[in-house]
Amino acid sequence: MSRLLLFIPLCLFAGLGIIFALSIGESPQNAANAMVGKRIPDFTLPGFNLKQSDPKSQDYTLAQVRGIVSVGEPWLINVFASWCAQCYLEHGFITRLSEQVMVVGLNYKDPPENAGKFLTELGNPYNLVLADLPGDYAFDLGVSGAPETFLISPDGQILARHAGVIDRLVWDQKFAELWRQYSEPIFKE
Amino acid sequence: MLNQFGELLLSLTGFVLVAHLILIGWRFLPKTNQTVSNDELPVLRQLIVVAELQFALLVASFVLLIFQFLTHDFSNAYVAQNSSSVLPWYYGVSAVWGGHEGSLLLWVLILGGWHCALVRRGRAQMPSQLLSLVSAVLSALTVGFLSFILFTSNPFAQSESPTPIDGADLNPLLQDFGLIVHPPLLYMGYVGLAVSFGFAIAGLLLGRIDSNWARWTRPWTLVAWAFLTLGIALGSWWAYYELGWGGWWFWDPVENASLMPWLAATGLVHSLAVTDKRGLMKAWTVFLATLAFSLSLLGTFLVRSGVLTSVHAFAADPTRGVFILALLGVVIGGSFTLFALRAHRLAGDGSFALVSRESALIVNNILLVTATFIILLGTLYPLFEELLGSTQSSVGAPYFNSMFVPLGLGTLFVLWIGPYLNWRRHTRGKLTSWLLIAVGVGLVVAAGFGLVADWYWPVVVTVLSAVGLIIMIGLDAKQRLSSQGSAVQRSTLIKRSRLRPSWIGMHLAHAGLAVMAIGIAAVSFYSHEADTLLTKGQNYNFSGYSVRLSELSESIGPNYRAAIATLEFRRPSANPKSAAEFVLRPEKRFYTTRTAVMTEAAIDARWSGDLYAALGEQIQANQWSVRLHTKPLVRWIWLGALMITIGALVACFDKQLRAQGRNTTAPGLSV
Repeated sequence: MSRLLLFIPLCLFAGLGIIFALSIGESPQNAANAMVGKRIPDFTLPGFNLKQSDPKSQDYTLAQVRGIVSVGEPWLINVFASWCAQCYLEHGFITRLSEQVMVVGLNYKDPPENAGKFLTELGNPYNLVLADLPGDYAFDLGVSGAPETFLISPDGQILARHAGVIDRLVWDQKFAELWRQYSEPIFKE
Repeated sequence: MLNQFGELLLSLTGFVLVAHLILIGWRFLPKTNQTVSNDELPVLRQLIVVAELQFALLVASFVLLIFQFLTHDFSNAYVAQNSSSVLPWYYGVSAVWGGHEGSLLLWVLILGGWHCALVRRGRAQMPSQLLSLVSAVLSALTVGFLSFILFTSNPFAQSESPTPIDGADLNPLLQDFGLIVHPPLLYMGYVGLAVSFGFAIAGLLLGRIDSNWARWTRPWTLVAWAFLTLGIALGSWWAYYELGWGGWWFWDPVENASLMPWLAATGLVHSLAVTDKRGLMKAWTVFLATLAFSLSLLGTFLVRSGVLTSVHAFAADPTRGVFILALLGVVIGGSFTLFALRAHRLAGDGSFALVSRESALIVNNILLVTATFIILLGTLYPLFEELLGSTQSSVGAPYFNSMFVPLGLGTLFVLWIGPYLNWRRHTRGKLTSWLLIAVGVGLVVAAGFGLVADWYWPVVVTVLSAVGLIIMIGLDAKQRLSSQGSAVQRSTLIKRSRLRPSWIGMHLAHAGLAVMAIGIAAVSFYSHEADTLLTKGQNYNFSGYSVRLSELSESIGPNYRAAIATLEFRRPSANPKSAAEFVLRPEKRFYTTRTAVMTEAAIDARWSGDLYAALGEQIQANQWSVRLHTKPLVRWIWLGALMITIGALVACFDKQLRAQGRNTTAPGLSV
């Protein structure tokens, strides 16, 4: 038996360890949190068309989206995909949330037919759905995977970000206070 | 107050084990290469006292945590985050391991339990030197995990003042029978592999691995493997009925994390047989034992560090990640270094022919290790991709399925002949005629199956491989039971007794794999699903049934409100006023404290297949979207896993697999 062969497991593990160490250092949570406090990047994205019959879907720019969903109010971007198991879990809460908060769905790396099935089956909680099939815009946002949720201020600043399932606890801890703060009436005193 | 007491218990356990390690080091390290001296008695006494004491302390801390949950002691931050005053008591108990901190405590508790069991059983059988070293490895692991708990994940941390009036409640996904039993079983398996790992390290340190070593290691590995099998199967069953979208396996990173050690441990169980019977593949066996436990640790790491996210990843905290990585580096890196430096001493003695039992087991090991690395690669692929600069994507089911179907089928076909080959060199027996029978019957059954259901090649080939495998088992059993074998067979097969527990266990497990394969093939190709809007009173035709939404009601549980739909299933030919053939009541639950919505699927379970109904959304007052599935033969998957589990446990009862007692029995050992 060649003694060098015995070092293979050690070398493989060392390689893996380095990858892990690098991944922790640049943990998606940290890297993308760098976007918090910055302005939301500009985009032109196709709006998602639930009716398959309509072949041409409209493109939306950031300004148009803000005009639609954010009339002086903070709003949410929820990154979702039909292939993402956790998105099914948070769907109920997103639905509940959308009764009070404007939510834009960013459909991430998802073929339109699958996304359409997802939304028709479970219901569409979003005020507007944008399709990001190549995932380029999500990359600009620092998205590491679905689901992810961003809170955007009325003037287009990223206030908070959460990677993973959003539920009542997460909402209360990370978003609720900021949301209240920014959605308070302008003439408060 | 109780919180501090809990911390004290955990710290005390750590100190006891550190003292134990120092004493063992003192006694043994200078004379590792000497034969056992006559100072066995005090060593054994120390081993037993320490093993029992650390386990008692861990049990005490665990019971304390349960007590805090049951008494709603929200001064404990972990209790406050994972339970509430309205949580039913049984979920209060299971909530102990519903979060990160508590599940680690469970991990350590189980490690302590295995340690205690090993010392109690091993004291009469194993040389005290080997037993001490294994005990030292387990102690060091316990100390490592205890410090992880105390420094980063303390389940007894004090709540911020003022003490919360009520807790945040347990994640509703986890409020389920499946979760009460799934993690403990899985952890029994994960942690049980620590014992095999301990044996591997001790073997490397002593530079001595022989049949006896294999026989001491084998039962422990088998038991751990059985638990792991059962734990994974339960997890799959839980996901199936609790997540509400009808799948039984998702190739989710956490599922993969449990499957990898299972595959490596499966390989280990088989290579241990070679090491036991032939004294071969020693270094490989040691490698597999190390690999299996390393993958268990990696599983813990993947779930707990937030490096990869998934359905189950409750905790995402980089500090913990760094600590776990350091722990992994020491344990896995250290043991692979030891392996690299010492494994060359473990040369095997003996050879075997190309067609022999050894070769078949090597093929088995190659298949299993390949499968392990395929999963490892697929699970970690997003990490590689991210490091290379592209965006993260997940490698999904298509990748794993395309890899696993050929590997699985290959394994099934190897099982046709592997168990019947002779050690060293196969001499011709009845194998050729058996194979002809198996192929013949298998082809007929598979073709029949394909014609009755729809013809899909993967299904037909799977049925052929599974049926043939079971036929081979039947033929072997028949021959072993009949005494009319030829003289040659008598000398080769029957001589080694007939239906020993190890024989029964092995074949039960192999048949379990066949049963599971049929279930998987059927559920993958013949499932139907329909999503439909059902209005109260309306009929809907689905898969040979007429489905009627007869009633919508609400109920109030201890910590949730539920909408319940009553679905009546009838044969279309039946009189619509006659009693329904069966009724399903799927629920949509709204958990008040967490504001979470859960789907409780309703299932009509039969061996021939399940009918699965889950509620979607309420569209109008009397209208719901409903998802209906048929899942043919889905129970066979879990039946197969159960057969594998029972097979492994039965095999443990075989006395021939166990080592003989130590020649020198220590006198007066009644501690």
